[in-house]
Amino acid sequence: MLEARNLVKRYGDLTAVDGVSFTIERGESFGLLGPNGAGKSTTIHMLVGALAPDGGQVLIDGDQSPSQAATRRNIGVAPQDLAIYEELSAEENLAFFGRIYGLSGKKLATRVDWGLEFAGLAQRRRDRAETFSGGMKRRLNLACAAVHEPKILVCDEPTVGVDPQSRNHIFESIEALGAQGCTLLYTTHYMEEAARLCARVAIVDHGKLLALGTVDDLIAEHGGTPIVEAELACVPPDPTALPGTLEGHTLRVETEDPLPTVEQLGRTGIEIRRLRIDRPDLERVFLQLTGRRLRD
Amino acid sequence: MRAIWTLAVKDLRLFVRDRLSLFWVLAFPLVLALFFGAMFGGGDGERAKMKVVVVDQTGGGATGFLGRLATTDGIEIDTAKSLDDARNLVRRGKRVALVEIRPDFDDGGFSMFGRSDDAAATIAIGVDPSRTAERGMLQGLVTQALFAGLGEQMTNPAQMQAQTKQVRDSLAQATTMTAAQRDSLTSLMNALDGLSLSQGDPGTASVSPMSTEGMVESVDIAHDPSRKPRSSYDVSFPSSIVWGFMGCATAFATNMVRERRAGTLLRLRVSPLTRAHVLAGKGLACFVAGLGASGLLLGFGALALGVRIGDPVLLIMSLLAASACFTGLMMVMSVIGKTEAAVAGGSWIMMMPLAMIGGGMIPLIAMPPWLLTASNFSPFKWAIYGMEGAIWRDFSLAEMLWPLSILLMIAVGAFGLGVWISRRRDP
Ligand SMILES: Nc1ncnc2c1ncn2[C@@H]1O[C@H](COP(=O)(O)OP(=O)(O)OP(=O)(O)O)[C@@H](O)[C@H]1O
Ligand SMILES: [Mg+2]
Repeated sequence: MLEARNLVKRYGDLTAVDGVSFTIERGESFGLLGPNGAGKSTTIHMLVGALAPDGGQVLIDGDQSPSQAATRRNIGVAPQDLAIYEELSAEENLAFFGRIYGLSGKKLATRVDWGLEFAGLAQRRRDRAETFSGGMKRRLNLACAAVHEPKILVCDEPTVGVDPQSRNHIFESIEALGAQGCTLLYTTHYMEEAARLCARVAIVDHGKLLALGTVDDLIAEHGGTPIVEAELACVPPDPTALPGTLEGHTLRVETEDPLPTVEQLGRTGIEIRRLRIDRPDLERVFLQLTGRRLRD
Repeated sequence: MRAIWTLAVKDLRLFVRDRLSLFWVLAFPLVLALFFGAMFGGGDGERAKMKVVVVDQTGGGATGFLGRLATTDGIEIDTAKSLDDARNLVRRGKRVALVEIRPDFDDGGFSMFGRSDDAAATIAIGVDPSRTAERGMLQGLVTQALFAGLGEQMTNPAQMQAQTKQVRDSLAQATTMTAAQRDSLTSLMNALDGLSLSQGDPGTASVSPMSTEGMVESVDIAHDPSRKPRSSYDVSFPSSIVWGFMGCATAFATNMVRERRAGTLLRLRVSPLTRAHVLAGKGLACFVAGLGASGLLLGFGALALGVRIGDPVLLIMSLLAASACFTGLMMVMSVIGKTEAAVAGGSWIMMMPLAMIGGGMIPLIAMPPWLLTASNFSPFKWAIYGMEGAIWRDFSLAEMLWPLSILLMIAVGAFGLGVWISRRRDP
């Protein structure tokens, strides 16, 4: 459905995107996960035809290029920088973006209504976007991208600056689109979002694609083992009888199976003040791959 | 085409919702038009008259001249008893000028032919020093009134011959003239005799090169009543409406930069639209806005102040061309800077001098010749000239083609230049 082949983009000395390749299948939801400045937006801009790559190519539906207008008709884009008109109402924004993708008449009207529901703005359809909160604008931005029922929906960080409730609303909307068979390309620097929404995730940093696979595969491959961390009330006379390593009062046990380890600890009769099970996640994967955290 | 229209409608919506642009496009030109219109005399369907006070020192010997002066278009006269009274009226600004008719004034007007070079003037004009612009005009009108009298007499052969005889006699007595001067004036008088005689001849009646009408016209063709603005608003509206076009161009140029910076332009570029669509949409919106604004302003002028519409077809053509011209300029303005402030500021810096020399501030009609020459380089001039051509200059279609084609050339050139620069900037 959508293929990036060895994409390269340079800004002067800086290589913002450095040989990125991946393929997104039809109906798949695909995530680009990486910290600020990783090159996610730049990659996306090349994929949708907003930016010409310095190297490599983008293929859509087999052999089509996003530089062709007809190809772009099948793509919906919700850019990271809000691309709605502040002086237009929610309704007018939706209608405008519907029209430029060729919608008209009754079809347009139903899609505008759909978009208002989708964005949760039906009550405020006639209010100008400038009067909306940040989260409402984000939702409208997303609705405008999806109003023409694109085959591919590209969302560049659709949840930045959004409160948990709005974020949930956005997740549900996107999941609903995915359920309808829409191919989804999603960028974020929140690993929970990638884990929840994306079947496959590509981890990028400094313009390079570091790892690609399903969330489970990535964790299995790069996440390491779960860690059981216990803060003990007192250090036992014979610490070597305990599993793992003891540092002061804190015991750390790396184990594939955390539960038996916890039971084993309980049986020793030592009072445990605090217990934490640290399961491997995408955050750990990123740490593993780069030696840095996703957000610092 | 539908896509372009969709884009244009969107841009027009944004435009009418932007109060500041509306101020520059409608309110500001309207205030200018009213201000300049009122300053240059106001309307009332008739041009404001210059108030002139006359001091007649001939003791009733200038009734003919006074009568003609009183009926002269453009001035309103009353009389003062003494020169001092008249001077005071002008000094205090109650009258624009005074006309003094000195005791040796000859109402027949023929004395000028017999006058020696050092003879004192028989009419004096004094104009309020702050109104020097009116001096030339008043001189013209006074001369017109003088010559009109001369013309009247020429059509009356008997009176004519009496006059020429009188002049010949005085020529004979004149002592300060050279022989050559005397000879040439004498032969002029002979020729005039012949002329008035031939006019009496029914066979050649149609040949009347010296009828009153011909005489007046030859003196003052610039004041042909059919070719002058009926009210000062006829002049002030076209020069102010160009500011409306200018406001539109600035508004759409900044709108373009705003879209570029806000990312909506990028958003449009990832839609099926091409760059050409986007630019054409902007252009169309700017063009329509310019037409709409100028139409509203002119409509208001016509309904409220009696601004003449002149030839509606030519007027519409002139508005179309002017709007196209400023749409082209908008394209250039939009690439002047990278921020809205830079574009707005740059546009004013670029356009202000052009507006000043082009008649956006001083009406073309009041410009000295050198400025009028300079104004040929300003699109403002051609936009105003086109509108004036339709409103009161009574241009024929052929005369109209000149300003129209210049405007269209600027439109195409500027639009092309703007597109070229923006293309080079982000390929
Ligand atoms: N127009 C540009 N000119 C110069 N450098 C740019 C430009 N756009 C992006 N970059 C650089 O390219 C790199 C990648 O930027 P990009 O916006 O793709 O990152 P991102 O992954 O989307 O980050 P974020 O999470 O902050 O959105 C950054 O170092 C950025 O400074
Ligand atoms: Mg980004």
